[in-house]
This record gives sequence, structure tokens and C-alpha cells, in this order.
Amino acid sequence: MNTMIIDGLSYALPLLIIACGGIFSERSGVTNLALEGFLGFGAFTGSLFVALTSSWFSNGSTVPMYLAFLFAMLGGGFYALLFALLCIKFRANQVIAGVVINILSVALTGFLTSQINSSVFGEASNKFQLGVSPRWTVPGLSQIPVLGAVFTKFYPFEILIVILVIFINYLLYKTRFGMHLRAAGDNPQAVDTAGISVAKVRFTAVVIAGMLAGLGGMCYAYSISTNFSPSIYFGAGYLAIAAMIFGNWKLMPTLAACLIFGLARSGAYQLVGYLKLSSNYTNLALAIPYVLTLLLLIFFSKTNRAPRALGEIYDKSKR
Amino acid sequence: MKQKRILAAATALTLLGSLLTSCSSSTATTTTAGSSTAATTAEATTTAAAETTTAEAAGTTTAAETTTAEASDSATGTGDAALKIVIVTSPSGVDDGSFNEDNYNGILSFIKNNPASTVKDIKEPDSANAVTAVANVLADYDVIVTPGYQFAGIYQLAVDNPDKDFILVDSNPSDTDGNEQSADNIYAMTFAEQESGFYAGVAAALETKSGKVAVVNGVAYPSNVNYQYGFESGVNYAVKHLNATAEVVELQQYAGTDVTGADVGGNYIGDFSDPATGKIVGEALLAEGCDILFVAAGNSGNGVFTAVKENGAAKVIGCDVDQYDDGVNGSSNIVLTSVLKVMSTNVEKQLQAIADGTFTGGNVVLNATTDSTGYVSDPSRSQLSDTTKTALEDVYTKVKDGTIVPAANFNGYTPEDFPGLN
Repeated sequence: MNTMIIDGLSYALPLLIIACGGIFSERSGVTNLALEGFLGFGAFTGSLFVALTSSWFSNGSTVPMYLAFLFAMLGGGFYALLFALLCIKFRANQVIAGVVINILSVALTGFLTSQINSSVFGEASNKFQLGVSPRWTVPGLSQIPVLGAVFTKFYPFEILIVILVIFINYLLYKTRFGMHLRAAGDNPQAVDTAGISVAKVRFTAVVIAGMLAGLGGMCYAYSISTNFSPSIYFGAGYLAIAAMIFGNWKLMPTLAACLIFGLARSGAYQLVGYLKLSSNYTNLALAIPYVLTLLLLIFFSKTNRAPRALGEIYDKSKR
Repeated sequence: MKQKRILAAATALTLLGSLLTSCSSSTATTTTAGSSTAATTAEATTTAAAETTTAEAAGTTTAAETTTAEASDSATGTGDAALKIVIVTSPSGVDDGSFNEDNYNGILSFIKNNPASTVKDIKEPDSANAVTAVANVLADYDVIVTPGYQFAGIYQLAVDNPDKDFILVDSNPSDTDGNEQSADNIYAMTFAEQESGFYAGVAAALETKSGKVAVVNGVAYPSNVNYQYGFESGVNYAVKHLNATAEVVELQQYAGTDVTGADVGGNYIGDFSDPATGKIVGEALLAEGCDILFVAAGNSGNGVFTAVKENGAAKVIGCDVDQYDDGVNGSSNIVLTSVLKVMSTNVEKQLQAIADGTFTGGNVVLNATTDSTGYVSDPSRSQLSDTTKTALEDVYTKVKDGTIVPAANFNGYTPEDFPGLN
């Protein structure tokens, strides 16, 4: 049970922050399939920073890790500029632009990693080695049965994500910016009439999406592989999109979706072990959360509503 | 008007993007021959070299004769055979610090001794497309090196192009129906993984403090089952003959099902490229009290490495190539040792044979008798204690002379009963 919660959270929270990026982008009216590319490029920038500067810090220092998160956000945001440029400035089809951005990211980061490794560090490798993230346990709280697992062996980035999500909730629903953003996705004409540039709002939203996805990618680089390699592209971006749609483009339901995906994933292995079934059933158990999602969608999809202007290129002259 | 221009710009950008993509994923040229003059010499002598390998044309120029004359030289390592070599790999490329790179190093050391030869590396991202990728470039090269089981289908290609030589690593060629074949111009090398697994098992059993060790594999293909059975054989051997106290931990929710459908036990991640699940399996085994894990799971193994790094006290044994660099954990290292498939020297040996004209194809299982399996004992790349090292040396000689034959997937022995144990 404890393992399930500990593993589940460390998988679900980065997924949530990537999905949050998706929410930003899509609530502002830009269909975002490029999350996978953003997260990879963000992780690449953060890891590059660690690789370049690790010699400045004492061995085992965690400072590079925290800075890596910062640089991952910058890198993800920077890369998202390209997507924003294509979708908003050049009015490219958003679905196609998203796919292009993903493919470009896989190729570009793989190529750059090999090149930088050989030219700067003089070694032939397609990976940047990162240190290991520490894991924290809160002394008293971790003793509480069941719930204590939340406070046991968590990664520092999990706290960061929780804080960010609370802030995002405030930003989206309680500020003027959040209102403009949501309006740009539902009724861009109204936003324009109010004298606010739709393009600017959408541009900002996409860049924020890139930053959040980049952060999520860096978290996975630390929690799963402790290195940056092309294996960072394992589909988390697409799973985040699924979680966002299942969560009806709203923050709290998306959180629930991410938790279901994360907990069920680690729970499936435990379940098969607990029931002493053969490993043949593991794959079946792994499918349970998705089957559940499908069933739930059948019943709740009536109330699901995408932002009205999602995927539409805003054109002033069109009525 | 303006809109049109913007649209055009967008299209151009998209095109540029896709162009960039295809560029970087397809090829990265490496000419190792050094100067451009060397490359031109290569061009000039290839034709001659080609002629010597086929039926001798009567009117061949002196160039051809020099090649034959030099052939005896090249055996001593100073030849100037001008082979055009191409290596086609999985997308991780020839600088993956692992499997592909080891093969590439074999080619490089051949070129060092034969500076007129050249090599080009090609990445094929789609493993289903591997054979087509080889077919596309075949005409430009003399020797094709293909590391990985995805290239098993080159058999038909080799039969259709008898003047080209193929070196296939870690797989045997098969025809379009999937039946195993062999051809005169394909040297297919596979390795006795159970021997490498055996060294890992002995080392783990001798070094464990908790008395619990485990092996983590990717998918229960024969190569992985060989590693697993070899490891279990090694642990059993160390317990019986070397006074070790160790037990092999297997979690039945990760048990593997081999190609015949039989349950082989062990701990299988179920994938070679799923580090996230690898980490879960690793953590589960550490929670059972294991302190040494033998990891033979490709990219999924990375996740196991992460789990062990976070654990802090446990160690891993690497596989296929020296994985010491992957084990860096702050100021310490989690890699106890790595057990090897020695691909580089075997690739070099075959290239030299091609240069000398003594090349013969066939499907060969390489083992300790040719020093093709082994382990890392260099103190700067491993952390074995002296007693373990002495024990391993003894075991290695016994495997080499056949006193010990570790169990494999299909050699009829089991980890509980194999020659050398009882």
C-alpha cells in the first residue's frame, strides 16, 4: 500500500504539472499536442546545465538539481516560443504544428546531446548523467497509517509541484489574467472587443505551457532514469493530454485523473503480487485504469465541454 | 496578401523543421581515415581489393598484387586493406556508450591498423525498417556490420549480393519465413550469455551481505533467459563450492514466459525500453532485502540503476559492456562489476579476415574458449574484493576448459543441475 502511494505520487505529480501546461494552452484556445516535445526539450536544457556546471559544485550537492528545474522551465518556455510562433503568428494548423514540434524535439535533443558530449566533454555518449535526487521523509507525519505514505520518501520536486499547482489554481480562476486567458479560449471576439490582444494572451499561455511541461520532463529525468537520454520521450506528454481531457480541462478533475493513472499504475503490480497471480496478468491489471477511464467517460462525457474556440485560429475579420 | 505571405512562411518553416528532423535522425558521417588523401587512396584501391576477393582477373594491375602482398602484413597489424565499412545501428547510435559503441570500437581499431579503410555509421530509427536501411546503402560498401537482432532478416539480401560481406552481431540470420539460416557471406556471432551470467552469479553470491541477490531481465527471449539461468547457476555454484550464503529472489508477478511458453521464473520487466517499470521492479526487489542486482534489461535497466542509486547501500552488476560510467552516484559508484560480451575484438577479427581473404561465414556461438565472454576486474572500473577476484579467475578457467557448463534456456541443464555443480 505504502509503495503504491509513494510510487504513484512520484509518477502522478510530474504528469499533473505537464497536464497543467496543457490546460493553460488549451483554455486559451491553442490545441497543444506538443507537450511531449516541450517536456523533452526542457529536460534537455536542465540536464545540459547540470552537465556543464556539475564541476563547480561539491560532489553530492543538490544545488545543480534545483537550478536544473529552473533551467528546464526556461528551456521548455523557449522551445514553446517556436510553437507559439507557428500557431499564433503564422497561423499554422495547430495539430500539425504540434506534431512537427514533437518530432523536431526528439531529433534535435538527440543530435545535440551526442554533439555536445563529443565536442565539449570529449566522450562518445548520448546521455547526460545527472546526480540522484534526495528523498525526504517527514518524521512525525510519516507514522500516520496509510496517509503517512504521502509524507514518506517523497522527492523535493513534489513539494514544488504542489505549490505551483496551488498558484496555478489562483492564477487561472482568481486573477484578471486568468479570466482573459479562459475567455480567449471560449470567446476570443469578446476579449478583442474589450481591447485585449488575443494573440498576446495565447502567446503567454503557450510559453507557460512550455515552462510547466519542461519542469515535468526534468522531474522524470531525475525520478526515472537519473540521466537525460532520448528515452525521456516515453509518452508522458500524450498521457498528460489524456488526463487533461478526462479532467474536462479543469484543474481539480485533472489532478484526480493524474492520481488515478499514477496510483493505478503502481497498484497494478502490487495487486498481481498480492493475489499471487502469474505475471501474465500484470498487463491485464495495468489496463484497468484505462478501462475504468473509458467507462467513466461514457457516463460523464455529456458534461464534458472543450473550450469553445479550441483549435480555431483567431481572425478579427471573421464573425 | 499579407496572409498569403505569412502562410508561405509557415509552410517553409514546417518544411525546414521536417528537413532538419530527417537530417539528424538518418546519418552522421564519420570518416575515421584521417586526412582526405587517405580517403582518396581508399577510393583508388577498393576496386583492386574487390578483384582479389573474387576470381582473379588475369590482367589486374600491380595495385591488385600489392594488396595480396600486403595481406600477409595485415595479419601482423600493419596492413593497408581498403575496406569500405558501414555500420547500421538502432537509433541510439554508435556513441551509445554501450552495445553499438562496442561494435564500432572494433571497427575503429581495425581502421587504426588499416588506415586506408573507412567507416560510415547510419542510424535506423525504425527497427521494422532495419533491413531496408541496409538494402538502401548496400551498393556503396564492401562490409556491412549490423549489431542487433532486428537485422536477422538480412539473409535474403546477403544471398542476393554474394560479393558483399556481412557481420551480424547477437543474432542468427533468418529467411523471410523466420527460419534460421546461414550464408557464406554472413558471419553471425552470438554469445554464450549463460557464461557471463554465471560470473555475475558467483560475484553476487560472494559479495552479498544480506544474503539475497536477484537478476532483472527485459523480455524472456533466449538471450535473457540464458543470462538468468547462468546467474542462478552461478549463485548455486558459489553456495555449494565457495562457502557463500546467498539466495536468489524471484517475485512471481514478474516471472517470465519464454519463447516456448514455459514459465521460467526470474524478474522480467517485460520491455527493453521502459525504465519507469524497471524502477518499480528494482524497488520491489530492494524491498525484499536484495543488496546485489544483476541487470540485463537494456534501456529498462536504467530504472533499476536509479532505484539502486536512491537506495544507497545496494549494488548492481552491469551487462554486455562495461557499465561503470552509468553507475556514478555522487562520489561513489553502484556498479560492482560488469559481465561482458566481447564484441569489439570479434568484429575486428572478422574484418581482418575479410581483408586477408580468409573470411568464412557461418553462425557461431562465442564463449570463454575464445575469451568472448568475461567480466571487468580492473580495480578502477569495478569494486570486487580480492577474494572474489581470485574465485572468479578460478571459475573462469573452469568454464573455459568445460568443467563447468552453466544452464541455458535450451541446453538441457537447469540451474540446480549442471556439469560442475554436483
